[in-house]
Amino acid sequence: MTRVHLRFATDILKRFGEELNPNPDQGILELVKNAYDADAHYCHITLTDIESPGGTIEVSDDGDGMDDEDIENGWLVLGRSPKSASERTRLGRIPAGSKGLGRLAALRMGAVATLRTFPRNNPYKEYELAIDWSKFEQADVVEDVTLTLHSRTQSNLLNHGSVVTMSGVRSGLTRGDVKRLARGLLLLADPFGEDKIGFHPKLKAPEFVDLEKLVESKYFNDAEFHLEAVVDGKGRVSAKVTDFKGEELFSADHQEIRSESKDSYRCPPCKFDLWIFILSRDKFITRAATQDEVKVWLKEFGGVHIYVNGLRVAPYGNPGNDWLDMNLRRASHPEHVPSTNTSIGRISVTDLNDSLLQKTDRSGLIEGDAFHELREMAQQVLAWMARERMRAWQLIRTEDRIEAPKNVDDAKTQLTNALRRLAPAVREKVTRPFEAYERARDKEAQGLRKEVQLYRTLSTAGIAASVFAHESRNPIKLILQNTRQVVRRAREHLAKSYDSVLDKPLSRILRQSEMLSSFTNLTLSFIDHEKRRVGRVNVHDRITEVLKVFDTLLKERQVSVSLKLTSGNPYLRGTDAAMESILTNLIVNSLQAFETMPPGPRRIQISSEIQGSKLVLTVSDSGPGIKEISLKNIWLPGETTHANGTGLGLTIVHDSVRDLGGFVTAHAKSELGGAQFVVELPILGA
Amino acid sequence: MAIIIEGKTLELVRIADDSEDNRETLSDDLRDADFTAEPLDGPFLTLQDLLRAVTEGADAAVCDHHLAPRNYAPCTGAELLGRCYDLGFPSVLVTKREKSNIDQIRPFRSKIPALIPTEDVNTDAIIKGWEVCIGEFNQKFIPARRSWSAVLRVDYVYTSGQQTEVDVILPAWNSDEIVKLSLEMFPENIRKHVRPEERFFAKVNLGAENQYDLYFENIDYRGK
Repeated sequence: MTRVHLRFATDILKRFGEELNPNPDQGILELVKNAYDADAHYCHITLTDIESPGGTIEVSDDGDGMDDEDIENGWLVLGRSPKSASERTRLGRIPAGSKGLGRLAALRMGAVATLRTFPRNNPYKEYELAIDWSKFEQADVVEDVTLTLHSRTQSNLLNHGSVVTMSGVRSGLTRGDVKRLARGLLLLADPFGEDKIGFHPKLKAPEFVDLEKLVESKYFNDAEFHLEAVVDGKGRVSAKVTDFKGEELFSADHQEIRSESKDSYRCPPCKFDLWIFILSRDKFITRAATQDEVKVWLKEFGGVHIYVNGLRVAPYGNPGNDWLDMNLRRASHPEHVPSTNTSIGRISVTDLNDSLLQKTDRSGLIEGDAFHELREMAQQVLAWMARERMRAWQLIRTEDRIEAPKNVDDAKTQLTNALRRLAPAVREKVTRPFEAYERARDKEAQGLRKEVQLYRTLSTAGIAASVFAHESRNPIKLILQNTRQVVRRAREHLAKSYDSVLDKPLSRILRQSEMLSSFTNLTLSFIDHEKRRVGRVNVHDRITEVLKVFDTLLKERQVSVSLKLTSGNPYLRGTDAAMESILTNLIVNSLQAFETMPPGPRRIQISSEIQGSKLVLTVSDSGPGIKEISLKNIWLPGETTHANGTGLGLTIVHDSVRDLGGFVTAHAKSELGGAQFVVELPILGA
Repeated sequence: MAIIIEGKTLELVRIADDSEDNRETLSDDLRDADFTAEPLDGPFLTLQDLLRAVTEGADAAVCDHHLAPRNYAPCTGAELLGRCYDLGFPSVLVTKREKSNIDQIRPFRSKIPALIPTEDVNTDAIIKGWEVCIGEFNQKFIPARRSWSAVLRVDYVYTSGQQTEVDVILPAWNSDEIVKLSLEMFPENIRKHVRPEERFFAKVNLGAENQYDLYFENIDYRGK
């Protein structure tokens, strides 16, 4: 019998080191976490000549250091599962220790890695170990390379801790790498709260000074709102929102936040803090910080960070990481929902049962049940806050509406009194223009009131239409289904007489029901909330989609549509809803125009052309053209020449084009004989 | 089979509607009631063309109000029925009971004895409509259609875009209900007097049960 062992080729070090942890900052952060586990108070990271290959990285700490056994059975063992969170360190910290793969990546950054350590429990000893990676490259298997652990007596008994040096760094670190490292170090030990854990990693690099200054700015007192939510050991959440004076605005218990499901959250106990800022000039007039200072700070550190047992877990809260979909939710209510650019926060989790495990490549937490529940809790707390803020806003709006006319009256009285005190000649000169101004303002206010009323009425009509469209789907489906059933049975029972007796009326029922079904879909297609999200809008796709939706109606109205679209797929940034509003209202405008002319060919032509960085979209028709209204007035709300027209369609076109950063012009006659609308939109590409 | 109303035989009925399915459905209904129904396929380029197609050789007609949307005719059913009335040709108008339709129809309403809401269309209602028509041709008006001299008071004038609407109150009909008229219904020479609180005279069918059936003729201004 021969005893054999599994052995590892030296290439495995590369696999687990560089390839599994591609970012140098993550590896160095793992060494820093080792210092935390060793109960260090300070940890210094020194980068020397690292812009190009050959430099040195040193990580030193004042922790408990290691003795020969710690080194041999701990530090040198790679891939062992982390210690249980229930085993606390001497200072009561919950170990953040990993499987050692990040450490391997860091150690392999240089040609040689050296460890010098001074154990606290044996103050006379110093240990030193050097790993020359070139020896591994020459060997076949890992075990073929022997490492020598030196020990000597040290004289400075107060000195304890460890120093890890990577010399002969293989590839230089870019400014981006260093900045990421600096940011990671700063955020590692929760710089937002009080210094509870007493751990201070410090990078010696210019980027660190700037960022350190920035993170220490702590503009929390300038936040408009502070949200605090706590999940207790039973998974029950409670939350409150305070204003900038610290006064409570809203609070809620588990039932109110969890709403539909009353279940407990299956995540470890945690505290969620979020500071929300309103970045407008007037809010900052009375504040110590400027709006720009806070903007820069939020740009760097904004978002919601996760801290597990005191240490941060990347990438949550990193730039571009919106793990709570805050920016997406903000699109629907920009005034009441914070984004990662207008808020900063953290979720501090106490995880004694290892419910939240980190991925081996340190790219975040394993997205298991506990993580999903944690995310759901945070999202539901945010949704609750948005609801409360919306409710408060509605109340203020109502009060404003009551107060506004009174304020106007008061101001008018003051002005009239001031005018009375003027000399008669001057008073006469001032009074007339003032009266003219007042008349103009009243006219404008009246116009705006009418417009608001019209929008409200149409919104209500839209809501009602969408509800009925939704509710109509089933009855329409049943009419179709039953009619087909009648057709089947009648054919069977009536045989030859079916065609003369029932074919026509039943065919009409089917045809009209299908039409009804397509109109229902048309109505519902406009209210899809996805269409109101800001993002990439492919213009040609939108044209095709709108025409598809209108297909039945256009056929019924005997309208033919010709497309002359430029090659490629031009796109812009905006919402599908805005683009579809433009096309829909222009098509409806043409349909209404056709009704005012004698029967004849009805044509709509839609063409697109790229001119430099803009897309020129032209919609023309063969209607009677624009008449009985001047071209400059057609964009005004309420202006219509159609008996059933709202006078809002072209206003919406105008506003939607402006929202997309473009402009629209109208021509009374086109080569097709009818009106022509030319929409110019800035595009990002094609 | 035909029916005879006040000595007039009605057998051949023409149907004008811009929806083919509507025309065919109505024709089948009338055929089931033993009329000879002829749905008229469009398009008709002028009102005169349509009038000829509807009346020539026929005894009566049923007409939809909206004829333009589906590229059928350049006029409304109300305009057509006004001309049919002048010819003493019995016809009924079918339309949805929507405010905008009623406003469009109102100027012709005195010559439209029978207006049937879309949802109430059936052969009985159509025959009843023809009866009212033929009665009026013979100077026999039902109470709801008989006109009386009445005062109308302008309550409000409202301009929206290109249209001006005039809210009037008819104290002899219902002093609590506003009736909307378009400014065009007032003769051009008296439009300058159309202001709130001004009073006008008109021939109005005060027996109408609701304002959808009201018509106004000979609107006149006699000063303060």
